Amino acid sequence: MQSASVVHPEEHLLPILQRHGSDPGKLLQILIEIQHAFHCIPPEAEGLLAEKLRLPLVRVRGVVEFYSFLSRSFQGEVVIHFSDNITDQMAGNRQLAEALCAKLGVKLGETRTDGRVSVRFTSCTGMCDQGPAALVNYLPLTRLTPDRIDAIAALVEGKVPLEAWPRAFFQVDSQIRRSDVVFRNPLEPGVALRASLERGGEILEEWAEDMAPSDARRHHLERGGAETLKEIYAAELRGRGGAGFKTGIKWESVRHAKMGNRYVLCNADEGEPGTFKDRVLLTDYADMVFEGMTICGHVVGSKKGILYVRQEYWYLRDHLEGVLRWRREAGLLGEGILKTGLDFDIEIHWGAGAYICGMESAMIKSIEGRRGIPRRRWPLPVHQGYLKRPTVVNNVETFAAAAVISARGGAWFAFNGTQQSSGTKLFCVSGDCERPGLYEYPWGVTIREMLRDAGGLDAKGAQVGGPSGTLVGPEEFDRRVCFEELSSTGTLMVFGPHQDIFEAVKNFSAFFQHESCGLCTPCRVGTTLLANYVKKFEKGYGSPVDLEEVQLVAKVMKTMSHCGLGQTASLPITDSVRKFPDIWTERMQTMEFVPAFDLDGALEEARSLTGRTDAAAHLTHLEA
Amino acid sequence: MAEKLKVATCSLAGCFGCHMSLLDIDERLLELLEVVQFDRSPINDLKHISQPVDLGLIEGGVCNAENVHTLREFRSMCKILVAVGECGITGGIPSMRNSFTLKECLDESYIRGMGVEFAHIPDDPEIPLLLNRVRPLHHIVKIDHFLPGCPPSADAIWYFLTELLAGRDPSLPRELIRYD
Repeated sequence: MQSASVVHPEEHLLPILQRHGSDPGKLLQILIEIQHAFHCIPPEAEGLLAEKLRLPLVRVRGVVEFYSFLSRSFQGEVVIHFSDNITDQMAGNRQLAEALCAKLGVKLGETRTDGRVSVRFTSCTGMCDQGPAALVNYLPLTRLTPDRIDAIAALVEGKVPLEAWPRAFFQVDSQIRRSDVVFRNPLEPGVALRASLERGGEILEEWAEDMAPSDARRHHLERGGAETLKEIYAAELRGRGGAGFKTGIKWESVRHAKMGNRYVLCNADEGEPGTFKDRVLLTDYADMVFEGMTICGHVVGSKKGILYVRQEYWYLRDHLEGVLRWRREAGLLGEGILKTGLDFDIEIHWGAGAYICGMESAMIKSIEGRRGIPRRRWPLPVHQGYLKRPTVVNNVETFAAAAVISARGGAWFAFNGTQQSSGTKLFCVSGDCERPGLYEYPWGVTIREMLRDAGGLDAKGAQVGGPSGTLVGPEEFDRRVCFEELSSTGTLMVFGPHQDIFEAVKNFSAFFQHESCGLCTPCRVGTTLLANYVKKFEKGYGSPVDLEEVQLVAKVMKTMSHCGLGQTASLPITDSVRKFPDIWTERMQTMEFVPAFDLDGALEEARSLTGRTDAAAHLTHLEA
Repeated sequence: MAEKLKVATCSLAGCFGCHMSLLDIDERLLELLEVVQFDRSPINDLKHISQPVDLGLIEGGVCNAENVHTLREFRSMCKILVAVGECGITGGIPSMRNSFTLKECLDESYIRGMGVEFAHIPDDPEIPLLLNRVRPLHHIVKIDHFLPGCPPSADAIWYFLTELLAGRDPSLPRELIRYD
């Protein structure tokens, strides 16, 4: 590890560039490697990349400044990011971060002057069931305690390399607490894929001899793909990322697209705070996910899949690359899969700390090596997606489910669930409950059932589907979670009887303010206005007048924002005003509008400059 | 004849440009005076609002303690309070000092400025103390309507007033808030 001052472009940067074939589309991947090597993007690197990749310098710098895990200033030899989800906060992450800063003698968010260490906050790292969590040099630390913080401070000061830190600090558990039919056991690798291919007819022995393309092979693939698509339709599978679009329709659109070079993208950006199912799937069911992508490749006629993973899961890199390698060796990926005419391979792309990249069009931009800014909705990715080619974008869980559907059949899958939400769903339960972890239920499960199983029935409220989902109180615990009633990405954050829901609302509004990409005004300005209103109430300066303004801002954001982030960012506030009005009214010290800042304090500087203390040198907060 | 609508106006940290624009409605002023009666306003030089009024028009942001008092007087006396022009709505030109500390600003004017003699920061109690930042009106009191422009054109002001007088929502049509 070098500090920022000793960068030799030729020696350090060129090998990274060469590894990525000087492809401008790999800009983000190259920057991530540079960041990991230098803990910053050295100024020399920006110029060199612009030159070698033939990109304008502003493009390179624009990408560096967009992603929160890339930085232009040196972040220290040891970079510690505390996860700042509400579940981490309820488990005391703020106190732990402050304690660590105090021990290390470093200011939060700043690099220590000797360049040894920096301590920062980041959005949820997907370890909500085993928090408080943090990342150290992009590797997860779980179950932090004051003792561990002491130990970590000593390790940092003692310049102990990360490899020698206690393994237990880095332990990530899958914690699958309940499994239903779909995820009871991982499928045997290859079973689902073979089933999909055999729907096209027998795989002939003689094909293995001569791998040259032939009409017979082509027809075999065509037929198989068409039959598997029928199974996906029969399963009535809907996207697991939250929007619930019918997977069959999406796949068919790409299958029938006129353009070739189609792509299959798997969205493992999983940035919704409180969500960690993709992490578990990629850990224990990676084969199923890759198999689902390969089956999709078979159905839509694509040769290339890309898995886009958030960098918080960097520790899974060797594992994932290993699974891909094994599948290639086993003939389940690559050319002539299972001796048929199917060619398909998968590549992994990494994110760099941007919630918005979970939004499909932003993710596509990010994979293209650009800033992750959502583009306009039309043309849809199925017509013009990655590199303007027809593209399927599905969630990790959707692909895993598709693999199971191929193996077991659509009717089998559709047996579970409700009228409009077939099958089962993974739910990430965290917060104030005895058994946080992953639970698989048929769609239609009530919140109360989940709370009972997880041991959190005394909850005063719960956030269903993450901050962009729905905040519910006990009177709604009997509602069913499914697309027709209470839709969800599969997240349940439980707020126990002693919690203050206002803290959750504050956490979520700060989260959206930080994660807004800044493209459209309603979202960029709106998220900041809302976060400021929340702070105003926190200081006791809020009044009913402000709540009216909040509703107005929320309405503008909901109706005028460019993408889902802005459209949903006001929900925690509007939900809580409706369902937990007390958290707002108990903070109102006045019924009249008052300023959001200390008015008399605003005169302090002038008082000290003039030495005045007379009555006219002061202001009351409320009109006298 | 129905009782005339009572209107008060003032300029806080502004340049009076918005008031000039009000005068720019020209002969329509006579028409306006048929239906409104001015209370406190630079037009008649009344120093305080004498009675509760229907409409208050304020240009300029809030830069000192006196501005705060004036704004509060308007808020308590006006049924409808309108922020007129860029400075009232965002702080405008005066708020460019917000990127410096107050000390830096005063030092520049009274200590290090060219030609300054007897350098000291004025501390006479008659002079209102400056706030550390210039604020838009809605940071201090509740504002009911915003009339944008720098200044809002005479037509925009006329449209706004006549719509309000007619009891309609005074949202300006697009052509009156286009500036390019």
